[in-house]
Parts: sequence; structure tokens; C-alpha cells
Amino acid sequence: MFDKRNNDDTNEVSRLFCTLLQEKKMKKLITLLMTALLACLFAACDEDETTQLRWENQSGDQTAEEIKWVSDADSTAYDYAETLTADGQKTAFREIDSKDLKGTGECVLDGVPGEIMSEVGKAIILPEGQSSTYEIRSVAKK
Amino acid sequence: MKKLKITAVIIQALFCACISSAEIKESGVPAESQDSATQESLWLRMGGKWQFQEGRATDTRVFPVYWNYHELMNYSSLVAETEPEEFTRMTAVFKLDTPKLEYSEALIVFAMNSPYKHYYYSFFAVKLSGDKEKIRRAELIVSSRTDDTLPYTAKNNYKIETLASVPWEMEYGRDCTFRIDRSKTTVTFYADSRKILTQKLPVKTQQELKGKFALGARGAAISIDSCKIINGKKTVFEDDFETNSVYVPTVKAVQVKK
Repeated sequence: MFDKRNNDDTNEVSRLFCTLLQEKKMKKLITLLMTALLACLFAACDEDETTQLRWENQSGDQTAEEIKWVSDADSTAYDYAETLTADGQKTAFREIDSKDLKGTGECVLDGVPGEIMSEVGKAIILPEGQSSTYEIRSVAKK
Repeated sequence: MKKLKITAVIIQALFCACISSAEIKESGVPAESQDSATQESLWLRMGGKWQFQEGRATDTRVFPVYWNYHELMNYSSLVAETEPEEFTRMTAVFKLDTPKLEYSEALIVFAMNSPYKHYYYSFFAVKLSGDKEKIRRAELIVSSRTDDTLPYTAKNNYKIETLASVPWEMEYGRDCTFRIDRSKTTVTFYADSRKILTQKLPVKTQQELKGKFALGARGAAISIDSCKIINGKKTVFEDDFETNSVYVPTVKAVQVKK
């Protein structure tokens, strides 16, 4: 009688232990699912990342004054406050609207707006959702 | 041995990463020169995006970019490189398309001068202005520097005054021959040979009318067919825009991975 009762108790304990184990597994599973969900959310956030543009002077200490990003869409001009007078100087990043990704950089050269170009006669197209840095390499004044 | 293998794999991965980053850095470097200038450029681009097709120079930007150092920078405009001692006549054949903005403005500039480089504070101009429907008015304006003590980088350091203003209507989208005749210090403006306005300029000597010429517009696309400047019987400047004759000051830039 005693033995049988003792046996039943042992079974009960082992069942409880199994349930606990399952719960632990469930917890692990839930934790994993939560992590995956968070990862998905982060990935989604990445897709919505803004397009940014900044300029860096590497022109041999020539001055790049009042830089603008001028959109081809409707000539919206994004102004950069910094005047880059020496190599290594950078402007801050400016957020560019998705409709303004195609355009031209411009800056003042002795009273004339000069075009900032990476290729002759071609507009620059900024990669959407990325931060771009353009190095100013040389200035052709008149 | 296993550790050695892992180290080798890591070093290889790092090496590959370095090479690909260097490739990205150099990929944006254009092979050809960035300079759009020609030795024989007749004009300096002051603003706008210009295309050269079918013997015309056409601005494709239309929307103005406001720099506010001097008025011509706020237009899509071209400055003639020549600076004749004197002129008796300037003719320009161009058309304005229907405005993309609520207004259109065009300038035919003469006697343009700068105290330094291309800061053209001083000029006289015939200004044409209109609304969405048509060009409505012709004016003679004068621009001048407000405060000579301020640096050239000072913004809005200029003023525009109207010397004469007359109502005058013209349709968009058709070529018109504009002409400015100068006799001593008086100028007369014609559109398709029709006299629009005459005005004596506030200068004491003809020498004060020495300077450069320019054409520009904003709000509506300007398409220039030709321009000629005459002094007496001599043509001192002429361009029919059969080829790209505009110098665009250029800054070369390269996209880098940072």
C-alpha cells in the first residue's frame, strides 16, 4: 500500500517536472519568436531609412562655398550651411526627399553657381535609403 | 592546427572586405574630364540647365534657384563673354514657353558690371513679365549694389529700380525678335519691330554703358535662337547656338563609401 502510494507520488512529480520542462521550452520558443519579430521590425525600419547626402572637401584646400543640392524635379534646393575651406572638412548630412534623388550639386564660385558633377553632363542620382558622401576633388573656376 | 585554419579564414575575409571597399571608393571616378568648357565659349552659365538642340539654347530647369548675391543668379541665365567698348544695337530671338510657375519673367541685360569677378550687381535690363496666360508687361530696370562696404558674400546687397514700365502683351510659345537700340544715353526697346518703350538712362556719359550682356528667364522655359550685338556697322558679338557655346564652371565630385 505504502509502496503503491509512493510510486504514484513519484509519477506525479515526474509529470510536474515534464510540464515545467515543457513550459521552459515554451518560454524559450516564445523568446525566440519575440527575437525573430524584433529582427523583422528592425529590417522593416531599415527599408524606411532616409536618404542623406553630405559633401567632403578633398580639392587641395580650395574653397567650396554655399553648397546646394538642386533637385531635377522642381529645383528644390537643399542648402548646406558649411563653407568647406580645407581638405577633410565635411558638411553635415542632409535628408533628401525621395522625389529629389535626381539632381545636381551646386556651389558658388566667385559669384557664379558652379555645377558639382561626377560625370560630365549627367545628373547625380542618389541611392534611396542610403547615406551618401561626395568628395569634392577639383574646382574649375573662370 | 584548427586555430591556425580559423585565423587564416579570418585574414582572408578581412582582405576581401578591404579590396571590395577600395573598389567602391574608386568606382565613382569619371574617366573623362569634368570640365564642360570649350576654348571658344561665348557665354558663361549663371544659372539653369541648358540644352543645345536644333540651333537653340533651351533652359530645362525653369524653376529658379535663389542665391541672392545678385539678381542674375536667381534666373536661368547666360552672360555673354564679350564686353564691347560700345554698342548701338542688341538683338535676341527667343521664345518663352507657358510658365510652369504662376508667373514668368525674362531679362535682356546690358551694361552689366561687377566690382569683383562675377558679382554683377550693376546692370540695366529690359524685363518682361507675365502670368499663366501671356506676357503682360515690359519694364526697364536698373540694378545696383546697396552697400559697397559689405563683402561680396553678403546676400541681398543689391536693389532693383524700375525706370519705365508699360503694359504690353505677347503670347507664349512663339519666337519674338527683341531689339534694344542705344543712342547716346537713351535706349529704345522693340519687339518684332514694334516700339515698346523709350527711356533716357540715368547716366552722365556713354562710357557708363560699357559692360556685358546677358539673357535669362525664370518661371517659364526660355529657348534662345540667336543673339547679336552691333556697334555702328560692326557686329561685335554673334551666336546662333548651332553648337554648345556655354561655359559651365564645374566642380568634380566622387561618391565615396564612408
